[in-house]
Amino acid sequence: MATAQRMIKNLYRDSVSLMQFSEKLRALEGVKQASAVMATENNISLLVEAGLLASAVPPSPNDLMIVVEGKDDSSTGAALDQAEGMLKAKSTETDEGGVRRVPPRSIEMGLESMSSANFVLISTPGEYAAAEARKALQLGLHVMMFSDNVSIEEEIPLKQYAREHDLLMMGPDCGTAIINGIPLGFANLVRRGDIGVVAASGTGLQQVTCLIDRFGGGITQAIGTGGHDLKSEVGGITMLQSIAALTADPQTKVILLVSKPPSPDVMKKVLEKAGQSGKPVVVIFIGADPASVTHGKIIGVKTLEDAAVAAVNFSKGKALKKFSNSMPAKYSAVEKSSARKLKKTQKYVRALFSGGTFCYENLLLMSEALGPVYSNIPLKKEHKLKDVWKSQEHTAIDLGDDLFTQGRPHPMIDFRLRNERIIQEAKDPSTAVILLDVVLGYGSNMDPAGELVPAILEALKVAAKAKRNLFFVGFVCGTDSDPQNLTRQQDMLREAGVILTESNAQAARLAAAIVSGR
Amino acid sequence: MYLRLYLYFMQFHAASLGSAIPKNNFDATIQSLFDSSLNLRLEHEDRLITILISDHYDLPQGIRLDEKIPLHSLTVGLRAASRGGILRFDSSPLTIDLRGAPIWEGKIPSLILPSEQAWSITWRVLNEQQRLKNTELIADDLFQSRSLHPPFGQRAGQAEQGSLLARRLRQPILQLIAAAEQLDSRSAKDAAQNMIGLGPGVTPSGDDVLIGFLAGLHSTAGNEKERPAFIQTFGESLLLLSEETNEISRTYLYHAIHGQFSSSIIALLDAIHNGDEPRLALVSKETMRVGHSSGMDSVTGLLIGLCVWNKENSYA
Repeated sequence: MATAQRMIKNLYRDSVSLMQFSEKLRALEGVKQASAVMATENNISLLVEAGLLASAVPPSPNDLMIVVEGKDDSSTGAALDQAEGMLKAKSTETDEGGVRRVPPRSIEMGLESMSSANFVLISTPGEYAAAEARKALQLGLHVMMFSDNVSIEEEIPLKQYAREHDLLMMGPDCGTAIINGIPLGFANLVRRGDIGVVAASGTGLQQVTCLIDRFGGGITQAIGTGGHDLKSEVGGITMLQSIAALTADPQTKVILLVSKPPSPDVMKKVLEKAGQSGKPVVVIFIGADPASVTHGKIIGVKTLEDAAVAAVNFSKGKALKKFSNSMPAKYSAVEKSSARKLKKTQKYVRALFSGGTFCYENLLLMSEALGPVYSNIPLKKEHKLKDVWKSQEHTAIDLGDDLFTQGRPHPMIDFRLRNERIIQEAKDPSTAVILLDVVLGYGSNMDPAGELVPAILEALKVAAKAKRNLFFVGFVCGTDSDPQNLTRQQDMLREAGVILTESNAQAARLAAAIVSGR
Repeated sequence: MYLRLYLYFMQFHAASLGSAIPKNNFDATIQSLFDSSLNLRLEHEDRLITILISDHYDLPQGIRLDEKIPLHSLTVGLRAASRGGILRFDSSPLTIDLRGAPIWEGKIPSLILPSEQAWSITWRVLNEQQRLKNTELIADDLFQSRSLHPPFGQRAGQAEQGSLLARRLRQPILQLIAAAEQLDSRSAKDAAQNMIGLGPGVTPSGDDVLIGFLAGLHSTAGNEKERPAFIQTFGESLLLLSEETNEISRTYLYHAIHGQFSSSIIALLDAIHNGDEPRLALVSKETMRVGHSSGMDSVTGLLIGLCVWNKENSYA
């Protein structure tokens, strides 16, 4: 009889696998006994006592030791080779062709296995993201940087390098994009078409692309720039490159730009570039006067919904109508009947948002109709909520603000905070309307209506007990193709009593009309 | 424009966090990877933390997820970093959101006095399960009697029974019991030296028995100064000895020394304490199901540890 052993460095298998492995070893031809244990001093001594090791070997507690006893050296050697092969096979995946495939650990390894790839998504902690992006750009790859907490000082040279090498650097903090029909980050499954979108706002991009889909249009690309891109220091590098790329793209017939108002110097450059495209360009600089950007083929609009309507009209070759600043007529009946049912004390709208851009657009539209609206992200300093946890007159809150997400997941994923706030608002006798956004798509909660409905029903109960009628107004940002099932989500919300509108702008105007029409 | 994409962003949420998970930002490397768990080696501390997929099983060093995550997309050696409560892995779209997850303490309630009946039922179930699974260590083989207080040391002169492992563990376990009874930490250390890293499995049987034994001691130490002092001194020696076993096992020992155990050990202790028979059978089997023999080995240690300082109690 002969014995032999082999150490496998830093290899851990769970106890059940090791037991099964030892049994398989014992079943190998020519093997009488076998064992696979961690190479600790006590185990080595046990193996010596069991006759499986001729003499003690130096311990190595983090390594796996395989020992076999067989009829001769060749059978023990063959058994150990097979054993090692079996163990290593478990640590890799096998393609159908039998080639071992190790999951890539670096961008370079990724490129080895997908040599035609030309794009990388970076989602590492902020402090590593810039280095990874630099590496990717130097390898000739376009970059989408989902990571945040990357300083503007790091962002600028990356974007400059990308521009010099004809590459696109999306982000940092680029949470949403749809490239070649594939949603990335928080994004929706939107029909393909001929509208190219460039946005510095995540939920802004989601709203316009979903509405384009709903109005029968489709997109070529939806490119995120990251929130800093249109600042003076960065100079709109990514937005300018994206406009150029969409200009050169024969599939793109209409360009749509979304952002908060850029710094004046950057706005000038962006509008110049857009004008040079020769294509119709719809511009929504949320909060800026549409007339200030309208020129030639560039059309400025006021709301995200108007932006989608304009882009689809251009795409379909339809004439542009004048956009209305008021609530669509189809809601007037519901507005009147709701307003009549309010008590005298019920004066205010309480808008609870998961999307920051939705909150910002709502503030603009509601304050236009109702006067001051208080918020954690107010339009004017004097309308900042004294206590963000307590509403004040008309209030619109961005629950995705850092104030609310510390120690909690984003409100598009975790509804606990918003649900608590819904009940809190329902208890307030001055609340007339609670306004909600519901965002579908990849990255969001898989059943947002299922999360919200119990809180809505509870809130209605609270109000009914106090002999008040409370109204919920909302909208769903999503498409029929999103994984959450848009129709089912809308049906659940309607059944719970939510008055659903097509868009954020319509919801803001309807809510404002209900409280002002009473 | 030609952009070809392959990556998806995958975000998961921790269902609970063990109290030993760093509260602040941390860096780590994947040390080992299993079907439903992985261990991360912390960069600035000599210990591991574990990401595990389970709907109920918590560890003091654990980040528990109650949904399946694609662990196969990760590899040993990959770097991970937690920043602002988001755990990310290099070159992977996988992220785990730690924010908002409830903290699981992993501390055992002090002074649990098991009922004789509960102890006996658990001992019986343990031996049945060990025989059923044909494990190398069968608790009965360590002692002749199945009484509540195993007649420690009464095996002298009897024929040697059980596997080689059981025979190797018998003497140190008897020495460990005697040492704990006499609050002799030096002798306890000598005993533990012969147990550490001994036996099959990623957490060797000897280590599992020691972990269970510590749970038994912690739960019966009460407020008498000498017993906690013994645990502390013995624990310090054990910490040094744990260098002789692998990193994974060393992590469990580290927490056991500090009175922190898995949720299954804590649930079993609670069931033994409350003597609720149907629940006891259920909970003990569940505790014993951990690993191939790890769960059973630690229950062996636990039941022995529960007896050491309990002889004077009225349940005898």
